[in-house]
Amino acid sequence: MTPSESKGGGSASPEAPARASGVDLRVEGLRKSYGSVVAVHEVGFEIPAGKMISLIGPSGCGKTTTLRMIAGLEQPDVGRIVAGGRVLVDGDARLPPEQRDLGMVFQSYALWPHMTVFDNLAYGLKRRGHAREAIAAKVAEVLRIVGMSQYGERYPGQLSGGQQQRVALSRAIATEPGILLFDEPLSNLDAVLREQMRFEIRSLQQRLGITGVYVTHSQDEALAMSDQIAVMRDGRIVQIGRPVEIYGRPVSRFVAAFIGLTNIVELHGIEARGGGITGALPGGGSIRAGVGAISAALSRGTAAVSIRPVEIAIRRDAGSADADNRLAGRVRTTAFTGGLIDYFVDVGGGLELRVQTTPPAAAEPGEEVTLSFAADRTVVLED
Amino acid sequence: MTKLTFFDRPAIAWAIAAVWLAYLVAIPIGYMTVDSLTDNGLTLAAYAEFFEDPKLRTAMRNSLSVAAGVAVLSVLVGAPLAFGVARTQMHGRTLVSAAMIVCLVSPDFLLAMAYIALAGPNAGYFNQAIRTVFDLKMESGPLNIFTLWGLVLTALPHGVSYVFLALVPALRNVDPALEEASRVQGAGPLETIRDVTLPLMRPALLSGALLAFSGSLAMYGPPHMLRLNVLTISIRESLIRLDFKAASAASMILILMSLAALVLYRHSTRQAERFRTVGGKSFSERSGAEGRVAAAFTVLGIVYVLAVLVVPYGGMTVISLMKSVGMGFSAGNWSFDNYRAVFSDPAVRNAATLSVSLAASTATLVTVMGFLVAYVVIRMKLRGRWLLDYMSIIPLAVPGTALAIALAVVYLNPPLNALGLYGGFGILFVAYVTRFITFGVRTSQSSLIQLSPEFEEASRVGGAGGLKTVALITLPMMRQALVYAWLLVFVLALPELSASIILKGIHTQTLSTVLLDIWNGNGGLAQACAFGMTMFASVGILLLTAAAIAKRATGGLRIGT
Repeated sequence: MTPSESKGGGSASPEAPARASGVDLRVEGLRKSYGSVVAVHEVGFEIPAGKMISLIGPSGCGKTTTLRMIAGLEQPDVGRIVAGGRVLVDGDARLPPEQRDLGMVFQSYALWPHMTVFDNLAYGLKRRGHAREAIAAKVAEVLRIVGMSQYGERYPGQLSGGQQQRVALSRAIATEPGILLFDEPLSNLDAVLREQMRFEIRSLQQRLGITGVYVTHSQDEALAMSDQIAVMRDGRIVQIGRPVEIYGRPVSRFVAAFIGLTNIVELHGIEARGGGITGALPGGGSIRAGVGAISAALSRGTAAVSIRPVEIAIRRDAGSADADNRLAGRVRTTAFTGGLIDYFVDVGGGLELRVQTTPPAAAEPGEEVTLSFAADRTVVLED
Repeated sequence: MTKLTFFDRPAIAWAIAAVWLAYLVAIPIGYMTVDSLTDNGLTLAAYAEFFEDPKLRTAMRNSLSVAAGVAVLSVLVGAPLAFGVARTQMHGRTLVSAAMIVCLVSPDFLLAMAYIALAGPNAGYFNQAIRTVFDLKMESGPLNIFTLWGLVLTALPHGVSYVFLALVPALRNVDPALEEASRVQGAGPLETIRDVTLPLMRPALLSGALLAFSGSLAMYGPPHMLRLNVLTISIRESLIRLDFKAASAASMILILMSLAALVLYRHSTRQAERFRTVGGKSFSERSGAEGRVAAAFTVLGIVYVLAVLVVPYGGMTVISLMKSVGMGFSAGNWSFDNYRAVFSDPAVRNAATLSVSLAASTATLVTVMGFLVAYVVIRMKLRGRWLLDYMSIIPLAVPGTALAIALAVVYLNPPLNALGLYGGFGILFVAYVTRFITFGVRTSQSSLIQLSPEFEEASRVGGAGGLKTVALITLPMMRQALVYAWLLVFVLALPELSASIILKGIHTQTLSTVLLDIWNGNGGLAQACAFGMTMFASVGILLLTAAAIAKRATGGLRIGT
């Protein structure tokens, strides 16, 4: 019999001891090739102690390889990794994984099926030569933190996916590592549990003050869990910054489309206007954009701008005249998705914009509407 | 309105499969069980006599110690080789894997012949060489293959193959993250092997060892050639004395020991299933250890292949080309005369015709009926499926010698003596089909499990009937597996010895029984070697074909269950 998730899954107890065991992590000029394929190219970033960075990108972008090089499970061709002042890798000089003082949560959890939950957690502590009583106390403590106290004598095969996930997490923190590595840890869970674990992992990481590196292909996880996000593509970091920066000021079409929903609109006849630009739409009319790669757009004469669907207001009347951008259009179709309503609005010239509002619906299919959005929410992209 | 066909009426298919299995498996084993327990009423007299006979007790002890020795040594030799092939960049990985398959399928009595030629106490070439090099003033020795240790050595390659073939996929299928997690948690590479890899391999190691164990119990050829007193040999001796009760009792004891191993084996493979936490996932290619570690494994692999293939079969080839074995390595002592003599011998020609037709008809029937049984077990949701499943696996636990005794008892007594099978082609055919049922059923089963039922359902929805769907969808999609099953059974049946030696008639000598006759006297060592090498080459070629097909059909050779 498997106890319900909610019973085993009570969130971390508030009296768990706060600890600041995290160390800062610096990754410099990492490069890794497999034959002629360059998997990771000049990747570098820095993360202060106790903070969490997410590496996000489509599959094959090099994020997992980067994480595995930090863990010591892959060897970089070139590059340097320093954690808390200790050099983990520098060219050919490198520490084996077991000497790096890390915790890691694997995508498959990698719980040893022939050991009980207790033995799984005690494993790393035994390697560090702790006394039997100290190990028992420590295991009990971390099991309590993840709400799995009563499962110590179970085998991993007797646990549900969510419970295995908690055990994997507690095993990673049991040795009080300076850095926690996460390799898409939530991808094997169902949507509800994934949502719940996301916040639990984040709160645990913050409370324990452990430095985290989190690999994911889910923008929701990256946005919700990290202090920094590094968006990767083809082995390179294409943008790095705080979640709100990545979302609000994407630098390229790729980042704009990969993190969050967006409309990308092509403009021509770019002119300077009040610190920003204005550009013509293919079907007539113009758009003002106030932020992003302004000077690049001016010198090129054309630009692509990104406007998030939630930044666009939709009204049946003409709307307020002082909006930076106003476009007339006709609602082609709408979709109700619960918390949001999606509108696909034809604004002429073959251009369709996606708009999102909270219910109730502001317009029905076939209706004429006016769309308006602010110039400082309209981002000029570099490419 | 609806026209029901064969495969629409699961009960018919079930009944045919059940009757067939009952006839082949349940009747002989059941009959022998009853026969061994009755003598004008229920009695354990036959078993009491068995345990009172010191020679039989010794035979049983010898059988058990040899089987246990082979099982243990197979693990000690097979596990490192499997690790080298699955986890390191050693050279010759393909060579070692191929050698394992050749060793498993090539007839065990050939290796016994070769080792006798090399390590026989008087004339064995190793002994002659050692005596010359060390200037020993003895007429025989120092090596003596005619001992229980000699038998263990002869049976070892078989057992090593079982362990190796069970372990390599297990080592490859372990989630690499399980070992990586151990490293990240602070354990070094060797500690990781000790605490994580080896415990995870325990079920696979155990199943390999158990197959090695029961395989060694069932051996007939090598102990016959080495003139050792083990159970299979004493069963035949009882039969020669026409003491059917004793033969039945000894056979039952042999079957029970083998069955115990099989039950444990099934248990350990189930346990292996339970050890899988994330299912159906394929893992990225591991690079594996390089450098000195890989070099050490390369040496190990080469030594093994030399010891079990190159040296023995090379030696046999050399001997087969000698005009006179006594003249040894001298110029002018070389010719193909032995091969000519073997090929022109009418007894050999008759035996070849018989063995090829036996093997071909056995392979055909086993493949066809194996498919039917597998289809009933896997696809038809009928009660009692498990019974068919079990009946089809029992022959794996019945040594050929024991099966032959059972068939002799059944077909020499009423009512089935009316069929007149005994002494002819028929009884050999029944014996062969029964021995190899398991391979036909298992191959079809694993192929059917991989084949999504939706292919067949789509055909039914598309308008084809049950039988038509099997003919147009199921069989074509399984054809490689079926061809592979046919070839595997053919290769195993062609040199069958342990049942043939008991059931052969005056006019039904098989290839292997003729080989034993030549070995025992009328042709001599050189001709026997020529004959043996021809057999080895034929088996090898057929085997490579089967392995190539298996690679395409199922991603690897499957033997056993």
